[in-house]
Amino acid sequence: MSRCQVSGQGEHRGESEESIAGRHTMGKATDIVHGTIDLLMLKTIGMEPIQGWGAAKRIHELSHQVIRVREGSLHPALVRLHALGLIRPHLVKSGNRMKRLYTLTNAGRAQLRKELARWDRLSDAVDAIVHPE
Amino acid sequence: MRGKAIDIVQGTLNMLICQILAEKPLHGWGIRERIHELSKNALQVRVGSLYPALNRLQSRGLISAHRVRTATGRMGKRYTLTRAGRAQLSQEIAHWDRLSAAVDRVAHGAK
Repeated sequence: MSRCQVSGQGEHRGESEESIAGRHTMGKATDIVHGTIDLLMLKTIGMEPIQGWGAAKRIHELSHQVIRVREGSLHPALVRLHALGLIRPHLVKSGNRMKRLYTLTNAGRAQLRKELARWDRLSDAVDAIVHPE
Repeated sequence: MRGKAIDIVQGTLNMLICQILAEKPLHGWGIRERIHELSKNALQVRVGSLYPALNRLQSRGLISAHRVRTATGRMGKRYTLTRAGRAQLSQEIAHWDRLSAAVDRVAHGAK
């Protein structure tokens, strides 16, 4: 199951990271967000060829440090997206090392459009309920 | 409605149930219909998820249930959001807003 860790703003002030599971007695209102790791990874990889950790770093930055994709979710996500034929790794020489850069396949681009549409529809629907006119 | 209705995951369902009950007390089926109506059928609440969610929220003291006779003369439960539920709801909504905005920033660029 795909999971992305969502970190609290507090960690930048040296506070402990927010744990959605533990802190909210109502359950996790943001469970939906955990289902978005594929969307976020595909989106980030679609911007330019990027290494796995680079994609995680960019998600963290673009989300203004709200969403953190942990090592333990990053690798399984990459393996899964690759197995599904949505991303493709390229080995590129960088100095005397090899870098593994990921790009989207055509199927990955199509999947990204689907995931974007699904997220928009879902988040709009939830917003329509929690923020009625 | 465009496309298939999306099943709501558990935690989000809890937030939505409480939000619906913040408007007024309702029966289980009424809550479900209201979620379908407000989301223009984009969200789907399965009966198999609804009642366990109501039981959980009740056991956590976030909603309370009262037995009432329905219009058709049967006995049913009507649920009410408690004070604790109201407080929890506003926290959950703030959390949802923050996280959904974060996903939007990645998905659609800065807003």
